[in-house]
Amino acid sequence: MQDEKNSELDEVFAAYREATPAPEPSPDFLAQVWRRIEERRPAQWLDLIRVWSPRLAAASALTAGLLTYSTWITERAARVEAVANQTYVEALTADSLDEHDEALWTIAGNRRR
Amino acid sequence: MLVDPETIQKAQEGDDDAYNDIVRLYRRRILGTVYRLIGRTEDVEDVAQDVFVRLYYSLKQLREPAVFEPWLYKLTTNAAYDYLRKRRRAASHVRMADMSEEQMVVADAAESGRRASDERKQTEVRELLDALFVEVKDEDRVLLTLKEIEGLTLKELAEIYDVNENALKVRLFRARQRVLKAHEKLKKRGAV
Repeated sequence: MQDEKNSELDEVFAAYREATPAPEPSPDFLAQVWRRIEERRPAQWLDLIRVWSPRLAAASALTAGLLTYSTWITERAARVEAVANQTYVEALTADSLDEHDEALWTIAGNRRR
Repeated sequence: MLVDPETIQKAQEGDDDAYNDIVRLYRRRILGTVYRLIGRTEDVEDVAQDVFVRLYYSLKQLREPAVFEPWLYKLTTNAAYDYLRKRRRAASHVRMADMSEEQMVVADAAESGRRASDERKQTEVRELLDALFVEVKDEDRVLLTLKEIEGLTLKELAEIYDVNENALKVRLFRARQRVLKAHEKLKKRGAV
């Protein structure tokens, strides 16, 4: 019974295949395809952004890195220069201030870690 | 395959002439497939052109030229789905009107006798299958059209649907059962 129904359906499918030959394309089929391609093509400035945005991002990252490095170098040089310009008394005062802080922490019962 | 891998590669690299060759080689086949998938003559060109526009913008994503044809069928299937979704309700009514117009044209033709009879038979078959497909989901319609009418193999369908062959067999079996059920229903109504 099921086989009979299946073969009947197969006959319908085969007849449908016969009844639906591929239509002939119109003479301007290809031209129409190109017209639609052009309609959907994104604007040229979008293409430029797409091409240039990764490069701009890389250049920005590089610039940020260079600025950070140069700031660090400048600060370090300034610190070294400051130490070099200190007098003996100034260096001794700065050192004793550190020891004073340590003593205060000990009295309060909190060791500085 | 109708096209050689070199032409596909050239088209992927932006060679417009190679792309034109692909369109020329496949347009008739795609028109036929679209016609059988959507069942409306007047919109066949529109949907087929849409397939080739989709192809143009997605060709670079194709990794292996060897799977070009399943890829093209996949694009065709998607375009047909989109069309069927939009026009599902209106389709059957408009189609009936078109057919009667076609019959009138044939009746007016000089060699009306035998040709008109053939046309009538073809129209009946088309109407019968369209009536069956209206009763089932678009997914069943498309799958069965590709398998039973376009004659695609399970392997090709597995490429298109991105599933293994066993899962596909189950889907096909269920789709077929639903169409058989619709066929029985139409028979009971006396429409067949």
